[in-house]
Amino acid sequence: MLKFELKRLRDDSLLFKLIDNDYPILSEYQFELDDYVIYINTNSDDFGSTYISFDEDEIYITLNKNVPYTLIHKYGYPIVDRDDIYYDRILKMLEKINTKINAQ
Amino acid sequence: MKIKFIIDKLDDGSLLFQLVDHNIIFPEPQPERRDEQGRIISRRIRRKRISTSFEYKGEQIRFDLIDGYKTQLSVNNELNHISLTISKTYKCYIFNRYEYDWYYDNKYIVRDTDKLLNVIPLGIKECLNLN
Repeated sequence: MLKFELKRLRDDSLLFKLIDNDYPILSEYQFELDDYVIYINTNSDDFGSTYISFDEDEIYITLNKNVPYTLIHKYGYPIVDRDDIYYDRILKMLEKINTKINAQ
Repeated sequence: MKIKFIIDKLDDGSLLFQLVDHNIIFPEPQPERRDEQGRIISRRIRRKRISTSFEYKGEQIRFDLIDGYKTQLSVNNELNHISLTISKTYKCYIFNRYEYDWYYDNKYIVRDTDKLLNVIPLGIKECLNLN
């Protein structure tokens, strides 16, 4: 199972929490969903942390049970206020990824 | 001056810092000053900051409140020098319980977030008392 949850914070950032990643992702797991290519990989418990990055058509998710939390800011770098439609789409995509993986 | 914030302790012991609001006016960065012989009188202050130090359970803690681009917590290994950068754009920050250390033994350091949870509000209070 790969399980995570999302919580919207006061500044509209998303708090991502990895609940479980007992999923056979040995190196990199890749699939297409809607208009995005999703890349998922794992950090070992002795290295790195959980983090997520995304651009126009790709989402990268790196998981580490030892450091399960990461923030997805509404504002990109440099400061770009991601519009609400785009932002909501990312949120829905993460929820879809969760559903898709756990349905397999 | 005031600063409103929320700190939640997450279930893995990490801290979630959320800035609600602040109306702190930070001092402008100062240029480096030299005397007539070119010797440095005062070094350049690079960032807008308010610094203070205070005692916490017998230990002297240095605390910097910094005006920055992203809200962020920075703490040295001994937890006696804490920098809190606050931003009205990025208001949230996770201070992870575990820090991976590249430079020493390549293992996670478990940070004392319980202590930090107590010291940050004290530091902010001390910073605001300066003005």
